[in-house]
Amino acid sequence: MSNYPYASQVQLEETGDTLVIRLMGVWVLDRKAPAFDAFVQHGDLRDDINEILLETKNLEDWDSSLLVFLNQAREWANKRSIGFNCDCLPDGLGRLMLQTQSAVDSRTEAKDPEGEPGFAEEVGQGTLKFLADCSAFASFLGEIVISFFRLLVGRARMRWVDCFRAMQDTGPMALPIVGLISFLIGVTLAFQAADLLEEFGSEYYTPAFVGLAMVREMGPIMTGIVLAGRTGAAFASTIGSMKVAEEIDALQTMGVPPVDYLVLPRVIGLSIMTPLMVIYSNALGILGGMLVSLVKLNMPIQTYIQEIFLNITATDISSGLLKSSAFGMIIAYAGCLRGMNCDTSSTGVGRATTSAVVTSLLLIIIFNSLFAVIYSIYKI
Amino acid sequence: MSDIPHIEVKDMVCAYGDYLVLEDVSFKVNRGEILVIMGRSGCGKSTLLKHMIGLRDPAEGQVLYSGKDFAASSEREKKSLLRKFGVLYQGGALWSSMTLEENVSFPLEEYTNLKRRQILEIVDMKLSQVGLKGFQKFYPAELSGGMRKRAGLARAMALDPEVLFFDEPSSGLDPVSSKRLDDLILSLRDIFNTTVVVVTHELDSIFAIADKAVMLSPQKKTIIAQGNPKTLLEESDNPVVTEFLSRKGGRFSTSNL
Repeated sequence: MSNYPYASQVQLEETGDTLVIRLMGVWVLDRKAPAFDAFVQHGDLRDDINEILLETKNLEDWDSSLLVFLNQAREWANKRSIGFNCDCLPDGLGRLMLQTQSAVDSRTEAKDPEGEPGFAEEVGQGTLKFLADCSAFASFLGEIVISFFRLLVGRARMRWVDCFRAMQDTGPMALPIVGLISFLIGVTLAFQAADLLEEFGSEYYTPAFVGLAMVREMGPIMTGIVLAGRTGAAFASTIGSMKVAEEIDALQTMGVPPVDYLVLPRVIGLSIMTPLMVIYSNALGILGGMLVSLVKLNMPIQTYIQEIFLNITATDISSGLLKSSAFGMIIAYAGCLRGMNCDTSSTGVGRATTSAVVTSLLLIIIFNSLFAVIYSIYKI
Repeated sequence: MSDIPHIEVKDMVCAYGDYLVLEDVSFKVNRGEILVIMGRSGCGKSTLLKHMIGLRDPAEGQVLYSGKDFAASSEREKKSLLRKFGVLYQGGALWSSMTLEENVSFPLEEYTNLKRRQILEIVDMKLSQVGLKGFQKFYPAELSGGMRKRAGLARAMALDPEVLFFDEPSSGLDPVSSKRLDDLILSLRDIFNTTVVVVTHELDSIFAIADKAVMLSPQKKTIIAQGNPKTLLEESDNPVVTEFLSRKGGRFSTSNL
């Protein structure tokens, strides 16, 4: 393009009360072209003219850049009720000018009629959105409960194969990552505990510390976090894409409640599978602690295991498993909720996925604190 | 046959929250008639269809099937009405985790007590009807857009529905497939006396199949004409209607897209 001999040029000439605009040279988008507004700002234009005439005798080549210039000129002329004569424009250019002139569609008014919202308005809108979110949370929970009762009385159409698929995805497929993370958490806990307890000469409590921390807190939380990122996100994106492709509408018009069919199997699958994963995570974490105790504290494996069994009760383990089942439900709930409420666009699916992970992490942490309070009140 | 129209839409208002899409919508469709909902893009055709098939409840007014108000029906009644519906969505809307066979057999398993072998026979038949024999084990992702649409039609026809709804059936189809689909719609109507509701703006299809058409306007937000499209073209004194049906735009049609 840079081989063009001419750049774009404009000449203004006033004859009586007519302004002649001579357009010359090459007007292409990747060159710098003159702007009509610049002439106006410089005060190059007299106010007492009443017609603008365009002349394009020496115009070599043009594209939308010329159209921008002409539209600015036309707008300026229209504001001052000055005649704007397009007759001399090349045929294509004249037609384009007419096309770009068409009136603004009335439907555009529906979008943002009052312009940018102020601070107070934004706060208000945010609050309304939060309330709407809460109500969506509650009504979706209600739907799941109703659907669960339908299942109990044998009236829900749920494919068990979907439930098993969710279980497989949460369980066997997630074993490596959950295993690795739990093992490393166990190792870290043991190092911290050994260093700290050594100062008091009570490093023999390391197994108890690692074991308790794993089964009561770290096992359920770490498994919850991994599954939220892995499975919750997958649920949201799968259901979200189904929504975009009208697959959920298709279920509905077939008389099958989408919650029965899509949400229930996932919630059930995850609430069964998460505790099983937590048992595995606990075992690997304790194994990590054992390795550190063996290497750092020279503690025989037998002693380590004995210590673990001495200090961890069945209540400790089951309290962890109980809350992990709740975490499983939370992950499935958040993933399905965000998927079902996804906007029908591909960016909507992305947003739903992100928001599913954030929602489930937030809820897991909140519920974990609630469980801590309840356990402490009832001394569990 | 009774005098009650098969489908009747009465003074319906369609809105998304506060945003009004259509108002004062009323029309009737008799059993065995083919109704085309037409109009320019963004005039609310698909919205109207969504309201008719119960995906959205009308803000005001009613949709009656053989005199029965859909939105006011109980869950059980709704389900028995939905049993008689077949819907072909714009992209086919096949369930992507299932094969074509599973997709088409789904409604049969849901609503009938047929044996597995009988179901498979019906599936085979329906797939042949839309030219997809032998594709039973394929997943939707392995098919082209047009094939997915035809498979969607096979699923919509699985229960020999009394009413078939089509959302833009010819979009994404080549002219030949599009013509075949029109013929299929006509033959379904002739054989089963199916009532058909089609959302489209394809003029060829409109003139080929429609007994009756309602035209929506995005500006007026309501029906601006209804009747047989050929009669509308000849007799309507509304330039918007005749321009649409004769494919004549304003000064520059592109500026009015």
